[in-house]
Amino acid sequence: MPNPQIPPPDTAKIPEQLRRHWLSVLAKAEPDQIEALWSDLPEQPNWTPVRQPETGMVMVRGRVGGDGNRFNLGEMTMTRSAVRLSNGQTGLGYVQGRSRRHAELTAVLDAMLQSPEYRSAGASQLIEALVSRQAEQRDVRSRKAATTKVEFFTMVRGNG
Amino acid sequence: MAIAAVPRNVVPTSAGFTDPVQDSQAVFRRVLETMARPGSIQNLPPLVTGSGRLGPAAAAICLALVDFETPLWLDPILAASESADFLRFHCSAPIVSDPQAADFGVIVGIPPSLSTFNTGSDAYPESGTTLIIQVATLSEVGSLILSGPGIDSRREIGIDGIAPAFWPAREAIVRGFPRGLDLIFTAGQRIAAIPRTTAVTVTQAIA
Repeated sequence: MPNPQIPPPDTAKIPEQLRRHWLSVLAKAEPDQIEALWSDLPEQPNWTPVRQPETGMVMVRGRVGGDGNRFNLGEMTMTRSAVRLSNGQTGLGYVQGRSRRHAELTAVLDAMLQSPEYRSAGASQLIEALVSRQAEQRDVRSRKAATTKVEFFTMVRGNG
Repeated sequence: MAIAAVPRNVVPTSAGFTDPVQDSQAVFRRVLETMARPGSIQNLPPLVTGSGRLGPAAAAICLALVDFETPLWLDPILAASESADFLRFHCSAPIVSDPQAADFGVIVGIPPSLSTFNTGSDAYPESGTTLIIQVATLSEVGSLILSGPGIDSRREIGIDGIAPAFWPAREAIVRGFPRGLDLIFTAGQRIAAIPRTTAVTVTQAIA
């Protein structure tokens, strides 16, 4: 999937697709990665929790062949949180795993990316860094998997 | 079940409980206390600030008692305000437009006709609506005399902002016992319950 570009800070309305993109990147990132990039941010806003981070289970559903009947794939552990920045902007975080800090930072970054003054101050670069890190990891994983590939072929028995 | 509005995924500006488990237990204990001793005024600890017109005590009771399995009815003032977003987000409750379908009703304005709410059935009287009514003040002295289970002879209470005609209408509904409505009044941080078993006498005209 092509990565949508995060719009310049003067864009007032955030398209839903973009917000979905960064929330997805943050949800799947390693908490340590976000933490490291977060501490490098030039400006960190103050925030108050609207919903304290809480861990629970969600049912992951899939569709047979991508467009068939819905089925329950299984439950996964998630942590969610919601915060309000000092400028009034609210943000949501739903992440995999049970790291409360991960959920809270995701919510803070979601709020930052929605407020023009913070989007320029490193928040969108943080997402881009995570995207390239995740692409790298995916690449390494698929290379490792590719080395185990077995080619099956049938020997044609000669008759002469 | 009719949903009043399309659920919007809006993050409210007001926070919910800091510690959902301990805080809702603390609120539940005080609701239980005032239900067991009708008309006794309980002070809730300052756990939440409320949202819009929804005061702190009414908000705390909703957070403690209402969840995704308890349809919630809001009076027109609340339904059209940020308070509805607050309750939808923090309680995950379906907000219904039909009072008959609601397990809980929250009222901050003038109470509507009580006969529109679900009073339960003779077999399942507990399925009736519990009303959370926010009023201006609750005081230990006033024009209402309560008696019945949980009250040693009689108890006085003043509830400011309820029309005199409210009490005969309630009387008509609780006469269908075991069917009836349980009421929780809130004002600021104070709460007082008047369950269906309590007899209410109005001693003087309420201003």
